[in-house]
Amino acid sequence: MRSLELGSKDKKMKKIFFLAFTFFLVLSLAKAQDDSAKDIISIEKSQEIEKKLREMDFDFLMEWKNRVYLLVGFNEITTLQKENIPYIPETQNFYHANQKQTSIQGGVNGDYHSYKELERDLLALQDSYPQLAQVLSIGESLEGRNIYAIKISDNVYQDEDEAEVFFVGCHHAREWISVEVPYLLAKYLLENYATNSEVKSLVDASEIWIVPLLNPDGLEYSIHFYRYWRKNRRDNGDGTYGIDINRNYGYKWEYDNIGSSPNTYSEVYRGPSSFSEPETQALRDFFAQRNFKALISYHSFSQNILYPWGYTSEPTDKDSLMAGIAAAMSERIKSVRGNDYVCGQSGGLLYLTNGDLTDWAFAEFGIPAYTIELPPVDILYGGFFNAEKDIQPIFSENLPAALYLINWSIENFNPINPPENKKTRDNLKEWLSDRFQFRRDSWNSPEITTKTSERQNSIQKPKDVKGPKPSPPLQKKNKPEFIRYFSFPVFYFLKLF
Amino acid sequence: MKGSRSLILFFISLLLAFFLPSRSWPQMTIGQYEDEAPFRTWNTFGLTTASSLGLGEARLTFASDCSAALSNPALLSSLPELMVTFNSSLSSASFFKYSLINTGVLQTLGNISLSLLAFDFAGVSLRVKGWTFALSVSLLESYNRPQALAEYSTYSLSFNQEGELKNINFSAGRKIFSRLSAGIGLNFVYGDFKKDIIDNWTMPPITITDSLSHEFRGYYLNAGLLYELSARIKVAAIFQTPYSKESDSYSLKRYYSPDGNTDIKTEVSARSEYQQPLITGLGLSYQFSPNLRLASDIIFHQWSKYNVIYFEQEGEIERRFKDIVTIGAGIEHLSHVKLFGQEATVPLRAGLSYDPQPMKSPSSYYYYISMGTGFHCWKFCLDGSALFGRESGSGDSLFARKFALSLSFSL
Repeated sequence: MRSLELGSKDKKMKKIFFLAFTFFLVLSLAKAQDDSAKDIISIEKSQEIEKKLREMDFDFLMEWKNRVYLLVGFNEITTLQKENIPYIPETQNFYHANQKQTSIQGGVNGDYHSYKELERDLLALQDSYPQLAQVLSIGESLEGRNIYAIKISDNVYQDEDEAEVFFVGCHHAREWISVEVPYLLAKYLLENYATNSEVKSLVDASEIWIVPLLNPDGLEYSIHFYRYWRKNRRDNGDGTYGIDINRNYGYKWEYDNIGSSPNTYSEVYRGPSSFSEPETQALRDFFAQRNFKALISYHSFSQNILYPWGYTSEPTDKDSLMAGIAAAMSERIKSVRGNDYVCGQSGGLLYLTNGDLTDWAFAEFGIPAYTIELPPVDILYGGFFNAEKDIQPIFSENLPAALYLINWSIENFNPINPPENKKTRDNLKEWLSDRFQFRRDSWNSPEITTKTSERQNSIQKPKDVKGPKPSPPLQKKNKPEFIRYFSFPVFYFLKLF
Repeated sequence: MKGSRSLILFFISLLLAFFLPSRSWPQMTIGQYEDEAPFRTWNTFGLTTASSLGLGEARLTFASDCSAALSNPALLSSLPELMVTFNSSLSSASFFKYSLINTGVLQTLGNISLSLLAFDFAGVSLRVKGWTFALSVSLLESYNRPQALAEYSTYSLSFNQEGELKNINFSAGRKIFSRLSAGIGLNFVYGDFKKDIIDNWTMPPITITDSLSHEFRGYYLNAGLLYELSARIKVAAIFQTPYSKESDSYSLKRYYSPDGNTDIKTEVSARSEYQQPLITGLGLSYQFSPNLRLASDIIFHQWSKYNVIYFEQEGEIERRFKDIVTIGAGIEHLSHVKLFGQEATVPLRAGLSYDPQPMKSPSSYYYYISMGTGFHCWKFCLDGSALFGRESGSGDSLFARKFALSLSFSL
């Protein structure tokens, strides 16, 4: 009997304990959820804004470089937007400090992505955000690797009549940081969609396409064989390898031998014909199916924002528009860490390039097309190398520029009106295909202009001399004077003990 | 006549149409010499001392020395009560594509060769109450490559790779029945690998270093049976367990620019695993007369299961390998001579072997011819052999050679 009484007491105690435990668990979960919904933002400091912020009772974090850092949730963000207070998302800058990386890279490339790692992480993003992200292969590289694109939009599996923006990385194998920035952009947009209204509005109103790795074969060679490898992995048949795929696009391809090279050993070898490479073909065919409004092609190094033309120092007819957008992006980048990205016309500011993506995209589609040369600013500070700890800050400073371009595309988007104003994926494809028919015809007949003496005089230094490069591959026939190869038939005495 | 000419033209056009648009896919098939590829051949199964080298590397059905423990421990029972063996070898092989050589960065005028001189086997066997035990240490694999150095006035690029895998084997064998012998061996492998690629500029001073190293270790078992079908015919069956060649791996990619006060390091330490294949084989020997015998082996290597976990990354390094079968056969003739009143035996050996490499593309095969002789007198056996091989299939016309000299003492 006694034991029975104790038993009922025990049951009561158990119930109380269970309820209390559940209560605390729910409370702690709710707290955790609340914490995870917080973002760090920064606002430029001014007396007026300071006054407003005080009234709003925000979580104040710190002041740094004339900016105020705040911890905000969804409601606070809405308030800021209502008050028209401009802010910059900063959570990513505090990434390592406040949250664990969802995907830890490894291998000999450290925190940078290899092809396999990127494949895995892109698919993981798609799995985590099935309503917002779709991963697809837009083609195969020379060695049969997939060239992945991730599409980010609400209703991602529908082809909506929205502004389409394109980001691409890693035309050049050794520019590892150029894979990370577009990949992190995709990750940022997806991870912040639910909590950041600005991100949500951009994603809802656009279709953002990101190809973080256009040259997977080259990247793998750079990781496993030679870090300084630049081109793709085409066997040129004369002992040399590789075509610079950012000299292989169809507009002004082979325009002169300064902006690209006919020599197979050159770092800027343009290939035997325009669009000779599966990587550039993949992008060409992809563009034919889409209706991009703007694009950024990420490269490194030198901290520049470049726009067409690259093949000449003459400006385009939309120079002021291009310069305006570039300046706005540069300003936003600078506001993050104070890094100056000098902007200007590619052929005038840096060096001549012909057959590159931005010239082709601008010429064929008339869209603002930018090459962003990521840090460092100089060869002395790392050239094509960036410390792993700089990946996140470099992305963070580029984020506002990318968001700006997406926003610009949305604001300047004129919805197309296909027949009967009823669009399905099929009739859109057909419509686009008709629309781009004339462009296809022009792809394989690039205009070849004889270079003038004036142009020769205005020639900037070619990309080859931007920094120390491995010297041209040693040639059997063409350049025997360069051959200084030593093979040592060394006798190794291999000791057993 | 006109019709046949048209037909020929048609076929030529057809052939051209077939070959012209072909792209060499995949572009970056480096061929035989991936970084972890052993020197001369992927198919390292035990070690061949001079006597078996002369027989086209056939070694499963009779033993000349205690290196038999590495390939078929059942043979230990046919060895004298006590035997000590030493072997040294000089191997040379030619290379075309490896690492950054002839894959786009540094180009050579042709094949480059490398020679390795090695004291590669020391072993002892002892019979105790019907059991024969053997303990040996051997050099199984070498990862050395020809060094390369390209120098310009303000720039240089150097490449260096070396490494080796050694084996400690403890085996036991005995006769189970009058015609059947069996044996088993426990193997512990260990070794290292080091690769350095250094770019160096002098104006401005910048050094890019790419270093990679592994410390290998692993365990496997090998075992064998020997059955005497008749006084003339012996058959053998062997296997070697698949095993994981594990390594503590380290990689450093460094950019050093003193003028910019820049020192960027991507430094990684992690575990790697090279899943080595299962090996099984059959051997057959035929004794024509007391002084003449023939031996042949056929060995299966399950390379299709080869797998690399590289710096803890599964699938990071992909090798498209297929299973392969190696074949070796040789003939031995014994002559008896008297020297200073002592009876001596002089063996003469000749053999052929076929050694396909595991890559699916490009297909690559070595064909070897071997010969050897020796001098067996009192308690000593001195043997010497040479193996000459040519590769076909890759288009690089590689060669491989091995000379071996072994000395055994027995009681």
